[in-house]
Amino acid sequence: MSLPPGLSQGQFDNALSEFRTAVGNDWVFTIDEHIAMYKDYFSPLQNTEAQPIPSAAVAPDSVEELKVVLRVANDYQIPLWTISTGKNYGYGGPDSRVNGSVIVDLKRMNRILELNEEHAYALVEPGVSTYDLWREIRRRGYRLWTDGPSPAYASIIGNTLERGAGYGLLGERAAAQCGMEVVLANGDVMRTGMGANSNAETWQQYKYGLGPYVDGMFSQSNLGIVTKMGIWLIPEPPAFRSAEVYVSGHEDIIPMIDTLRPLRLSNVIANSATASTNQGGHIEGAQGPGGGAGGGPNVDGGHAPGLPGWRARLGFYGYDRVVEANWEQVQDEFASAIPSATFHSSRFAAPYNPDEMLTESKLAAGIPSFQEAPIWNHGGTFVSMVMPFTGADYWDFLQTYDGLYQEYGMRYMGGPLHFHAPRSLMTLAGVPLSSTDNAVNERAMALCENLIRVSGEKGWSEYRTPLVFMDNAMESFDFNDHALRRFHETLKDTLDPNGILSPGKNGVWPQRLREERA
Amino acid sequence: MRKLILKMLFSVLALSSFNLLAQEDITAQGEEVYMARCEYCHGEGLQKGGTIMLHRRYGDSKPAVLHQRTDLLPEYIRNIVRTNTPGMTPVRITEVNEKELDALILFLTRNNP
Ligand SMILES: Cc1cc2nc3c(=O)[nH]c(=O)nc-3n(C[C@H](O)[C@H](O)[C@H](O)COP(=O)(O)OP(=O)(O)OC[C@H]3O[C@@H](n4cnc5c(N)ncnc54)[C@H](O)[C@@H]3O)c2cc1C
Ligand code: HEC
Repeated sequence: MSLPPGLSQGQFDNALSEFRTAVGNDWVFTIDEHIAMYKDYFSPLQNTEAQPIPSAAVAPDSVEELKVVLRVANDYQIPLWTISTGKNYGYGGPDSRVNGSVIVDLKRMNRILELNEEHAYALVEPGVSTYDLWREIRRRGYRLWTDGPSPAYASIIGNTLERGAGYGLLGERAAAQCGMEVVLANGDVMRTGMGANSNAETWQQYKYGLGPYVDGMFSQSNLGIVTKMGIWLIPEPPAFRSAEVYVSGHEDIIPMIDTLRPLRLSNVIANSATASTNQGGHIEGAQGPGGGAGGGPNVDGGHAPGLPGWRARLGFYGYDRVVEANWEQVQDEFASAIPSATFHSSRFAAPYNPDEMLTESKLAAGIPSFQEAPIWNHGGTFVSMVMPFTGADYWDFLQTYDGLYQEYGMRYMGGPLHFHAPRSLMTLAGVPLSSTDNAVNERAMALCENLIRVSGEKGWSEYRTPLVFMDNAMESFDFNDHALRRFHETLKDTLDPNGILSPGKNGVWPQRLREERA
Repeated sequence: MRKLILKMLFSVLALSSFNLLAQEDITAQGEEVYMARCEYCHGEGLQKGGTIMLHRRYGDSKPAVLHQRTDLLPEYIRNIVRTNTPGMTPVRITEVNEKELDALILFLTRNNP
């Protein structure tokens, strides 16, 4: 069992008994069997001494209980790490960065506080998953759609705070957030936006309130614990067409991206479209984490017969005639740019039956599914870059990455591309890990560090990064000798002087632990 | 033997439960937990991660859909749920608590011979 840094067993036992008083005996976990459930099984550090092991996990059921947990952590200077559902696999799962941290598991706070059909929003607690919300909407028979990541069990709050990617009309998850309640390190409870008016009538309808807009400070951050969040939903469209464009040449990705850009910018393609290689497009053909099916990364160990072509997945929503006109126009644009392009699509209309849809259509319709689970048999780690939305830039990326992968005995044929933030490309490179062979994981670490460093030099930085690479990834945001990181640290030291909240999150360390930076 | 384990499990549940719920009620509760926390990976349709993998593992020799199985033992289920297995990360006590897991197990073993 590990201890929080600087604490004796006796001090920690006292802290644990105070945690138990706060949340109840059943909700403080310390035995190995329970701690093992808070381990990241996708970590490149798995099976090594370097992987941080939590000293305990504490699961409050209310803001009041959480405030006591924070008070105790401040009293004993215990580093905490907050998770909502702790399914951040590929980016660190439920794990922390400091050995001996206490995990604050918010899954028990799982109430849907409000579900509003007229104004299309929900107000949720951290433990509510996309799937929980989707089920509740169906149970009530509301004509609303959700959006979110493919893992159905993911927390709306966790995923939105990580600025995750969905697939429908609100796929840029951070942009669909409206209003939050935050508990600060000192236990103060704050509401943002219109919610700062205690009589607020539009907390979930207008984001900004008056004065500086602070919600962003709590995403991908260690400045507070978010306990409530407003999330926008999509009024059910009368018609929906789920569509795919296929190109057969590997280099066809260049005109494919350049054709997508103006369509996405002008909102003719209004959803968070994606593209990926067409190889292993069917789950049955997937080969471990390198198979490249579904949303998984496409790392090829060399079993590919030739270089793959590509497939873009699009969605069209709204009144029937508009849906059809947009899809026809999109086909015309592709046919003139890439004469060999082929098309496939399926039309659906309200009332929708999820059982009639394949996974790709479900995702674009915000129906949670988790087809990819099996690809990740041995886990994998993600490198996720943001880059300019042009075919030439992406081609440069592909050549650069494939070159680096080859140095480590692998190939990179292109992972899924996300167009959720409509004016940039987000690229996903997956690196397979092994649950038994540490040499594989060391090699994966070295490759990822190289990918991040070389990308930084090219002007690409990550939109989100696994725990182990957080310091590396923040390093590439270096303008004016890391002025941005200094700003983050100033806020951190002011708002959390004991440095108890998620130290090291995205490379931001509190004064007390700053020498931990890699 | 299985029947016996089931009966023992049931009596533990029944004793611990304040209202002495009927076995059918607990099984129904277990089904509700299954629908909320397992079905999207293990239900019918070849697009669900668990069903895909179990189909690959068993072919036609066993049902790929978890709730159609009649050979799962309580301790086996408990172990799979709480520990990491390839394709299925641990389901924590905050997601499915001990009482819910007992009910879930009763549901998944309801048709065992
Ligand atoms: C096969 C596969 C497919 C995936 N597909 C997608 C995808 O399509 N889109 C996508 O976006 N991601 C995807 N992911 C990544 C990841 O699984 C999801 O993003 C998932 O939503 C994150 O887990 P979570 O919601 O449980 O967040 P958590 O693990 O609960 O939280 C993530 C992080 O957010 C912070 N945090 C959480 N809660 C709070 C809080 N209340 N207050 C303050 N900070 C908090 C913490 O730093 C925490 O570490 C995929 C992963 C895999 C393995
Ligand atoms: C994220 C998807 C996912 C979720 C959620 C999930 N499972 Fe699984 N489960 C899997 C996969 C994938 C496998 C197969 C692993 C393999 O092939 O070894 C599996 C295997 C199992 C097995 C082993 C079956 C056998 O024949 O060996 C059991 C039992 C099981 N799951 C129970 C559950 C229960 C109960 C729940 C709900 C509490 C659940 N699972 C939730 C994905 C999931």
